Amino acid sequence: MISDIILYSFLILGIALGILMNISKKFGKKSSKVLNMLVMISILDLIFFMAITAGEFISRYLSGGESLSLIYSIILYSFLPGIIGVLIALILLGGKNGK
Amino acid sequence: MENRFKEFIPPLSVFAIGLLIGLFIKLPMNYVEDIAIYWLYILLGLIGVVVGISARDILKTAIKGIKNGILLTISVFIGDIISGFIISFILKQSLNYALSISIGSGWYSLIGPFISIYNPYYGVIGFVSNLLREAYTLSLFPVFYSIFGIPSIAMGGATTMDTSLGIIIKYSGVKNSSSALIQGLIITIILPFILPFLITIR
Repeated sequence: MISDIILYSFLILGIALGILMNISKKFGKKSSKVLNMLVMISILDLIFFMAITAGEFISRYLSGGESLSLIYSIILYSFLPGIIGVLIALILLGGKNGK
Repeated sequence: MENRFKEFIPPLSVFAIGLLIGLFIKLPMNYVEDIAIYWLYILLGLIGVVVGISARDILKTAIKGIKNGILLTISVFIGDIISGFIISFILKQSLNYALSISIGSGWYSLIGPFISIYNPYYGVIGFVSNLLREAYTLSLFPVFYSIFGIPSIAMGGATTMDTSLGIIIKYSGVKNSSSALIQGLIITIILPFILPFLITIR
């Protein structure tokens, strides 16, 4: 179970650390490279474990009698809202770079 | 284009491998979910450092970011509602369930349990499809951003203030962090008030 308090404590702690590093000018090109690499590793790990969780849930409900309609529903509900949202945002924001 | 293509490969392949492992290999899911949460904590801490280092740049673009964030939120809601109508029509499902699932915006931990109270079948669809929306935002955002630019933040829905914030900042730059945070925050605040109304629509 995600704890919002812990989650945002990490974010705030990170922001404070970043500001301190910026003020003390201890942040060079090398540190920037290391930070980028760490961010990439944690993003990929998060994607990996989220995908396992999604796959496990899908497989759990695929064995039922209504599996085909379940698959159609899951595919449509997971992809369509996001894609239509992006297209509407493209119109409202007036292009790729926003207002 | 070749460099961009190289950037898309890691998130997409990691997503595909993870999905296949989840589908075909039995794993202790409690541990898998816990590990995912720990990585989320680590990622948010690291993103915090990135935001803190670029605080001056973020403040410079804050007004534009807030403006874009509000427009993105409106787009997310309009997109979700239109999708609800379309899916209800295609699959001949009740409009109240279709709208409640599609407006979930990736917030699976709210949508799944909430809809299950009324109908367990739609609860499962709501949970899995919103979980998948979050997972594909994480893996497809680099591709969408290269095609659509800032509007692609809308695909993340409510998750742009936490889970997908890292990937948004990584690929679209720290200047868009305020838009993503505003979008996620507004949806997170509004959604619990809209859902009880949507579920009663006939």
